[in-house]
Amino acid sequence: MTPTELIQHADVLGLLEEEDLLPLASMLEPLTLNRGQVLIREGKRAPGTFLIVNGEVQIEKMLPGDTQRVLMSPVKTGEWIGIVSLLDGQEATASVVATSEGQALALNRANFEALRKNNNALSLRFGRTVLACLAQQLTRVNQSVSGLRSALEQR
Amino acid sequence: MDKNQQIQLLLKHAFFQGLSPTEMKALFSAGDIRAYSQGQVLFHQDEPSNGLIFVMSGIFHVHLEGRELPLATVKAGEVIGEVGLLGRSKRSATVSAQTEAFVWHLSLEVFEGLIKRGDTLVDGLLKGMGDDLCRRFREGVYEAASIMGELAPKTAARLTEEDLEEKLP
Repeated sequence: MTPTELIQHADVLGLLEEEDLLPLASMLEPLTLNRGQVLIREGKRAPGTFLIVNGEVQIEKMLPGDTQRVLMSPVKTGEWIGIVSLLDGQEATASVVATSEGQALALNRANFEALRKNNNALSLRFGRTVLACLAQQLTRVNQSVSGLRSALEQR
Repeated sequence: MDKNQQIQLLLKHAFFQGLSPTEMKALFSAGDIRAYSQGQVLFHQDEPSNGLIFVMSGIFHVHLEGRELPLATVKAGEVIGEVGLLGRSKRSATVSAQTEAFVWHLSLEVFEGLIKRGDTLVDGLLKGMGDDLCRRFREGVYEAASIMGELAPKTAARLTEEDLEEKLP
């Protein structure tokens, strides 16, 4: 996939305008994913937000007082990840690890902050896009919590 | 409840914490107040989202179409429809009034018009929404991890590194 084709994927939810893609392209970095590559490490601030265009990525989380890792949920391709740590500046809640070769788009923290400070239609549309992804991810987390609560009650 | 009291109620919600009282007043004016009678449906599941709803008074039930048992109850001071507003997506459930109710409605059209203009009101709104979504996301993940810890090793989702290795191609 060429960089031009790759950048089209930035508009994952169809919330951006055609005119947004060129200025966004200058801020996004095409990334080749290798199996085992850690994009975000739990306990560290996410270096940026990543859009998985193709390939497989999984989310791993340490259990409290445990060394084993839990698969929280599979990452859907075509979704920005690492948003929470980028927005609130705190450490990432989980690690994101590539389990196959693939391609991604990365927006590093400095470019994200620069984009936010622009406070123009592009920054608002991109801000809306990442929040829309986050809202969907929160819905899945809440569904997961609901299922786990039921499992705990039935035990 | 007069207009100032309505604005004060909105300002207490996390979504509007990124707005000054003046900005909140401007955003409030961009929306409209709607009245609902008991039993009236606010929106149906699978309908396209038409905006964000803030409950001024009354009680609403959230339920899946065709099911009696409510998934959630929404009351004064709470918000409905942020996922649809942000993602321009379909409504995930049906919401109906259980009592007489008043809501403040910010339409999708107005929201997108403000974005197109690069209006700072949206910047403040997105900041407040982002802060709140981040907080709820963290709480959810920590609760999920905590319950998984309690349920382990019976939880199917709990995988050791060896399990993960077996799943790799």
